[in-house]
Amino acid sequence: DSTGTRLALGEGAMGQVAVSHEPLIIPNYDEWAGRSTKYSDVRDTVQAVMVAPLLIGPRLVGAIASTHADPTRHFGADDLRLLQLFAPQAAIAIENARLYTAAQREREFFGAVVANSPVAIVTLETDGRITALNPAFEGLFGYTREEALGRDLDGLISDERTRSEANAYTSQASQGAIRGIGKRRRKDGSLIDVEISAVPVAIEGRNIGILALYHDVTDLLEAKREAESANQAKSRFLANMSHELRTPLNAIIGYSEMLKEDADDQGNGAWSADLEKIRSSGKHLLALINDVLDLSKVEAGKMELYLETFDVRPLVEEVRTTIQPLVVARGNRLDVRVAAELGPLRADLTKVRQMLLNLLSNATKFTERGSISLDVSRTAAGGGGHDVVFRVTDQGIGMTPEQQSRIFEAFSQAEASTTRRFGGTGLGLAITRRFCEMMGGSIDVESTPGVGSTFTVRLPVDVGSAAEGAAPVPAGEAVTGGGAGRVLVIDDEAPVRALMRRFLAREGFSVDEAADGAEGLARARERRPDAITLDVMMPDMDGWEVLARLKDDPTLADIPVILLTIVDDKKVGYALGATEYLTKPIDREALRRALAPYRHAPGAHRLLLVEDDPTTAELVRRTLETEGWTVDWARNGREGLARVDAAPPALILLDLMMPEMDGFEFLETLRGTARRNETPVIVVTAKDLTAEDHRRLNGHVSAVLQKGSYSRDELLSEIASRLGHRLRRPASAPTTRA
Amino acid sequence: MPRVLLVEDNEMNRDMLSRRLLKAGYEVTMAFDGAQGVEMARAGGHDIILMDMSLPVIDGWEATRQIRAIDALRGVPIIALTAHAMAGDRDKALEAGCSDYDTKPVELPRLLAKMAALLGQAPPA
Repeated sequence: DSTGTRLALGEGAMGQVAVSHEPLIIPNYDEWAGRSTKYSDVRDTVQAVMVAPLLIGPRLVGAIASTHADPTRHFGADDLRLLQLFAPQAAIAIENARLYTAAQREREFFGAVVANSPVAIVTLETDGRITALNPAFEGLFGYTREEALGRDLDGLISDERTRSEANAYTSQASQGAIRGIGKRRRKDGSLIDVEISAVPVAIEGRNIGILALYHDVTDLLEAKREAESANQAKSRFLANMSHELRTPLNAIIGYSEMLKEDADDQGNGAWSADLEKIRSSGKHLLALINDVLDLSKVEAGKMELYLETFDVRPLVEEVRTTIQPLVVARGNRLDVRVAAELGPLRADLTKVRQMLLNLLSNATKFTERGSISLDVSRTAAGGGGHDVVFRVTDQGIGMTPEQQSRIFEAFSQAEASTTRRFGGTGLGLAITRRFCEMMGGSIDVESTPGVGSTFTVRLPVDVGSAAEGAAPVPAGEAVTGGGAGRVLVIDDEAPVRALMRRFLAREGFSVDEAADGAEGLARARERRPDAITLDVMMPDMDGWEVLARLKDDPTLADIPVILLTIVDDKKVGYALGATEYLTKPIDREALRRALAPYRHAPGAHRLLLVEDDPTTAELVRRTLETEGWTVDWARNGREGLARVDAAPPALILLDLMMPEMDGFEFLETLRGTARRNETPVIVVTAKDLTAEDHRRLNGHVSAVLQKGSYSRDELLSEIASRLGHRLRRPASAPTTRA
Repeated sequence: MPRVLLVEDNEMNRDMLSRRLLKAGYEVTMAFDGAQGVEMARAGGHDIILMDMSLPVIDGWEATRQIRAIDALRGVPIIALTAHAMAGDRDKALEAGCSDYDTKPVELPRLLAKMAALLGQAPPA
């Protein structure tokens, strides 16, 4: 039995045919020179051999041989022809079998990939029904294959609160890839944070379904929140340490100062001198602590810039006055020259002051009976902007190039002995350089030993928008952009930001952008926009957190905020909460101000208050009734909806956190397809939303602005109309500074 | 003699400042927290108030706001004493109703000059 014998190409009859691709007839196999030695003795069973190649086109897939044992019989042309008729069929059959096996193996392989994947994988029909899922999906969501197949995915793993968001993902995924982070619900009802990735599945250009991947990021987000709170703890530590260290030190300095004064009054020179030593050591220690804390703060990334527009001249005068005693004590002379056409500087005033004091105190420290100068001028900088240049020159001991290279490092005065001789902390220049860099500027030194040194600090004239090369703003004026006002767009999706920018610019607004909550807050503080649009669903700090922080900051609380998020494509909604948020406890003045725009509309005397706390309700009611409003009161969302129908108000004041039906559900129903009620709503929120509240609020997407492409115009006109409503009022922007 | 109300929770700070104010010719009353500060201000009789900003019970911002809400005290200047000279704190103090601010640690001549200016007097020698 020769089944399974392996032949080399060219070996034996079949081997030769495999090479030649030509048929072969061998009348007497036993005597044939080319016979293979692999076969066992076949003298009795094989007389003649006829072989034909099995070809598919030019490709050989095998060979087929026919033998007989009859010595009187010969294979002839007819036999060969018959074989060759049969050969192609055999070739196709063999090839199909091979392809099928290969396809099977591939199918098994990918099936194993999906089945073994730690990522939950699910495929859907275009309408969202589950067609297949892997064990990881079962594990992640707790449903068995039987329970999940055929079910609507969003119905299965999202609850009422996350439903619209989930639906939006599914509908977006039927058109293009989508990624994000959201909450989903397991079978047991528990909520998990997942990273979602979904794409359409297309065959030959036609979408036949959706592929969705889910990755549990609950732990990751938890770790992130912990890291953030550790980070905040670090900030609090730095702030507290600062206080803890300074307090006893101030006592040491203060008491020794007082006792020295008493000793002086009593003419006790010895005690006076000793007490002075205590006092000055205390002051030195304080300076050291201040510098160390400053540097730690900068290193920890906790040092913030507080930008304001100010005139340089008064600052320079103030600095001169402060440093003068030190200058005089060393027998030095200080010349100050400020260029005439300086213009205002927009930077962190406190830091600029600190830098100037540092440079001047160094200058006078290292100079004796010499001359020190401070020159302030303005030059053109690269990129079309301008710089303000501060140059401090002294006639002090100077530095070698080697010393110059080290002076900006912490704790390295030019040499250790200079600290002992000249005092100081050794940190001043390190801090000065850091401050410079934070503000986008630079510091350089030139020096000759024995002759003197020159330190040059360069700061952009507008630290906030140095990149834009903005023209300097006259001191005291509000920073406004395009005529209609300045809007800050906070959204993690770049296409959305670009879209908003184009649209708003066309409407005459000038636009700032931020890609996440933290950047948004920083930018809001910096730029003081007239209005802010805020995406609720952002991965790091969600919109609610940003909103709470904005309202917490008295300098930002007055800026109207419009919240945006995605929604299912069937609803066209409104900005959640409209243009006003009030924080609790309600400030009566704030309340009056918020309602002022609505007073003048005709018939605007009825107001609906939806608030569960009777005390708050009473306060608000009394305040508003004295203003001439008729106030209806509903205790929760359900009652509120009833009242809206019974006695339509001109305006609704809405608490968010209420039993039975909360503010969100109320709003969603109010704005929903059934009612489409457009009454303006002012939302009232408690200042301190707990993390749990945030989670709950964040999961609930109610009446919102749509990001789908086909209602872009509706979306944007909603925003513009609300912004326009706010911005075209006479400016009362909170820009006054004392 | 002008009368100053000093609202400061830290014992040593209170001691140092009050003694030096006395030496500078002021009559000094003291409150130990924000609520007490408001109460004593309300009781009247002060020409000027020094308000530490970080106080227990209610903080200096709130105490200032409450004092400012009392009509009878409208003419009494309040100087905020802040531990930081940050521009933000400055604005906050002024918005809350302070007439001026000074930084801690207190430099007596500077503080005395500010007080004298607010009381419409020449600074002490």
